[in-house]
Amino acid sequence: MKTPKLSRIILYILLGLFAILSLLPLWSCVVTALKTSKEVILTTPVTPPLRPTLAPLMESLDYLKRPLINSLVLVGSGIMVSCFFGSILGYVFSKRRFRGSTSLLILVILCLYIPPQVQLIPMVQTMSKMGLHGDLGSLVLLYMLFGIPMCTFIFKTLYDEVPDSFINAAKVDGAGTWTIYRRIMLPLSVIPFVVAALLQVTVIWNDYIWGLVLTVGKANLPVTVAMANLKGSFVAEWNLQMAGALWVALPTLIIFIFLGKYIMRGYAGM
Amino acid sequence: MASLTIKGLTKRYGETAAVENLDLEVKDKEFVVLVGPSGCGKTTTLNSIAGLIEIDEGEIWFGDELVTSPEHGIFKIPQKREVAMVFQDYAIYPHMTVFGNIAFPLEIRRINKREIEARVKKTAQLLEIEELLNRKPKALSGGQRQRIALGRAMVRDPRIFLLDEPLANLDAKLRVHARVELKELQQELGVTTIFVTHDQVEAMTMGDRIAVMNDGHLEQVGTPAELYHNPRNRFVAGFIGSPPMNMLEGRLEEKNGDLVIDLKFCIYELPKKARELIKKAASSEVILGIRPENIVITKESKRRRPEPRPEHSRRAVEGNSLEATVVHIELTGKESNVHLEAGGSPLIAIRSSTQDLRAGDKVWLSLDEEKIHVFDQKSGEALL
Repeated sequence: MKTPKLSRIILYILLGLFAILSLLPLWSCVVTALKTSKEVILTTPVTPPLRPTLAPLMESLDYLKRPLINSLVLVGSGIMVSCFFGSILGYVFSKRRFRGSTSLLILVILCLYIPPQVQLIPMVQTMSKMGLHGDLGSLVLLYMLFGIPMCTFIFKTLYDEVPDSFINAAKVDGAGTWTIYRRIMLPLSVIPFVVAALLQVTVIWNDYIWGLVLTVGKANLPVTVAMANLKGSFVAEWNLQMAGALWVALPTLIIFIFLGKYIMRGYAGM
Repeated sequence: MASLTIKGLTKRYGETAAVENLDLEVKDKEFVVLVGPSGCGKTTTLNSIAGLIEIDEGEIWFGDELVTSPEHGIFKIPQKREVAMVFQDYAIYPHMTVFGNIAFPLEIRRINKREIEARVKKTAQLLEIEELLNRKPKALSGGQRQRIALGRAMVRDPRIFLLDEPLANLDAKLRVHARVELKELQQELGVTTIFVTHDQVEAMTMGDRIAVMNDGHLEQVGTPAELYHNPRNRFVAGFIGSPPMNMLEGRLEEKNGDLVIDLKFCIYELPKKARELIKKAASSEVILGIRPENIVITKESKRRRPEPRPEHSRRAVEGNSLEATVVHIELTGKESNVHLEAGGSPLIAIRSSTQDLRAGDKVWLSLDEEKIHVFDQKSGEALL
């Protein structure tokens, strides 16, 4: 066997240190979630629990049950609507260009760069006028609309990879714009749909600010906002908070582990 | 089935014209090949016929139906033109089976299922791809894909076939086979066909007539033999034929009542019958063209006249043959291409046996007087 070079050994030691460093918060989160309130105060956040308990996990789940369902509703409706429109718009921008379509596409993409802080007040006013403020419905509507530019961009870039000859061949064969979309583009869209949906899941699930300003009452809160409420009013109940954080992070964690490569494709715009 | 008439087709992209003032007439059931180097506008022409692009000027007629005329505001969308097109990449839909691909144009037309099945089967039989019908195209070879694309074009009896370099993606051996097959198929179906290629061998072997394009212009239209033996200009002469025609620059002069071309390194005397034809030459700067197979290589100089005339004697000419050096011999199979150098210009001659020749040998070339071409150097037009 070849003896490894010294530089290689140093490299692996360094990499190991970095790995430990980046996993430390997760470790601390897991161990704290398994401790009783007393043990949280008596021990450091990184020491493993002496008497592990599932109570904080159960208690926080009970509290987060409704917000978890709320967030699922938001994610589900948001994905369906914005992917549907994103796919159609992406098809038009990619394969059915018209005069001014490039400028229009730039406008759509610019929407991605407007920071939410700027939109907070006008959005709250608009939702109030529509009578939706405080209700989960306001968030449903918001995520549906806000997802469209991103989805359009993803679908457009991925549709650009479909050869134009597919479209031209279908045209010559007698297919109209809508038939081409339905029979050629849509069946070829599995990957863009997965990529766009995953990006929307992570965006909507992790979003905090819109839920905070637009919804009122536990029945309407998304899970991120509800989780923040777990911190307790007088005493910081770290174990409950950490357990809640675990529940919130779990779905995205699973998605990243199994479907991470699609998310990378989305961010890379390929 | 229909004839096709193109009148004054012009298509511009910004300032540059991709196709300029192109006139072409294709008879019913004819196989016409559009050939030219890449970027010459042949695909633009094809897309204009299909209606995939809108043109700036001109008219396109299918039979007696005007399908495109920007002047009259007529533009028939591709869906309604009843043409079939095979693309260079075949455009086979990966998510459909072979059957689905071929049936696609029929399904669009809402033809009933039983008839679709019958017609797809018949087409598949004709193309010998029946056993592939239930397969997905992903794992199929280039040749099989090409047949599927053809099948999709054939299945619905189009008025005109448009083929955009359908053989370019096949390997050399398969291409020769596909060439013959495609031509036979076209004759069997009797559909008017426009075939685009950059390969002049394909054009020569397949076309009833060939339209040579260059730089957005139509250079010459004619049968393969016409183009080969009577190229109208220097471009067509150089483009058609492999190896290409040899071109030697020179000056047309009259010497002692004989019309000669001063090739700098020697004087070439033109045959008597050429003199009348060539007198119309506007400029005296010309190009002498000769096809490789019309050059005879001899090791001994052929003396036509016992005493060469004094003004000729300073040059390396004996009778009417040119002195040359063998540079390289290329065996192509039955014959060999002999690469030569004469007075600084490269030449290629074809010879069946080259056992007596070796690189570096000094040889004499005599040109077949019946087969020489003379072009005007400026305009490129054929003078002879």
